[in-house]
Amino acid sequence: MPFHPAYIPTTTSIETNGPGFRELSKFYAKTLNKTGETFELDFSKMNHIDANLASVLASIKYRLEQRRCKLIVRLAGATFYTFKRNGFISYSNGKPNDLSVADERESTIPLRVFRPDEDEPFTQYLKKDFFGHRGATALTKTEVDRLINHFSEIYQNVFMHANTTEPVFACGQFFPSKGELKFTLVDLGDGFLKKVHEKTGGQISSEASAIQWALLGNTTRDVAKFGPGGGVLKSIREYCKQHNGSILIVSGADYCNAGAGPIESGKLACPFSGSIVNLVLRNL
Amino acid sequence: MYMVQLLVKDIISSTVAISNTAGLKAFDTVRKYVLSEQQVILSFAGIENLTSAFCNAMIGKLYMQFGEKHIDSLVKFANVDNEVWQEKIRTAKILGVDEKFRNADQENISQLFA
Repeated sequence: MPFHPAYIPTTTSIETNGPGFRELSKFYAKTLNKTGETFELDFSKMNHIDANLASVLASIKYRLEQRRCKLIVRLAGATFYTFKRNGFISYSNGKPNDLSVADERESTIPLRVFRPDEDEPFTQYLKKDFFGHRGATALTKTEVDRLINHFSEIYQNVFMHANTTEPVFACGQFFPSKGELKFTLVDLGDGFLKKVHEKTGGQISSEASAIQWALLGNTTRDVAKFGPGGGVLKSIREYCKQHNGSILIVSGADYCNAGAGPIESGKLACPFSGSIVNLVLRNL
Repeated sequence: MYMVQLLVKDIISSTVAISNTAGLKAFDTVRKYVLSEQQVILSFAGIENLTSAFCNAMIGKLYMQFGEKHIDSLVKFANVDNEVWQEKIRTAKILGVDEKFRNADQENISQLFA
């Protein structure tokens, strides 16, 4: 099995933002169209990686394994322990959803893999692992209900629009001292552009424009068939704004980050499969 | 008039009312009663989670298909004591009856991407 030299990121920190995804995409670009090869991602010199991005790494590993490739992720220090506690290490060892992973410090939110129609397990995950978390104890019941609703809406959005039966990867991270919560949901479906392009009669022709279109409250929903509504990303964006946070969406090789100001967009080194929705909430 | 009591959790066989699919299942059940002019009480007792996706597919679609007066006279919602849920049900109803509200967010594409 051909073995590629380890990819070492050019930064010392990977966070849930455009530069963070660009860094991950630089590695992913090296693996595209390769079969039966081994790739190594060396994070051992990194100072920090947002633990919620374990869902992105798990999805990359899943894609590589579909092409009979192997992914080795080297982690060290505090990052290693965080990714051990959230279950990524055991996932990397081929034991997805190993519930025996002990988080004795109860400071991480586990990585989980769902099918797109697993409503109840996903809700249980939110209740137990996210909002049963010690970092969430300051939240009111109403606040928790709103958060569960927003996260569920994103999950439902995947089911409605991604057009896939492939797994959905979820992970989060709480920073109780900062009152900050990060959540990342990855699907391996169609991404944003395909349906938006169809819905707009071809007027929207880039992934970034399709993401912006959705963030502004538009929807590809067939109202007669599914009932009114849609446009959930706009209300989630508003909610993130209220919490001094942001929603970052990756689709194809584009990303858009919507915080308090105008929507920022950028390019990645290569397209990811499906879409990645990230929420960053502060002042919780 | 005699009113039939329906439990959402029995209709969808779950305590989690979050998906569009479950909402459409509940819509189909209630729709049959509405078509036969039977009054129903739709109880959310035992439901642990409720999303806009579910409410829009069930309640929004009922109001959209049958109109406000008709649904208000036949369908009552019970065991909704959570303010977030009440808000969702209200919004689903408005989305169903008010086409302007429904389309308010549909931005003008040519303006946005000219």
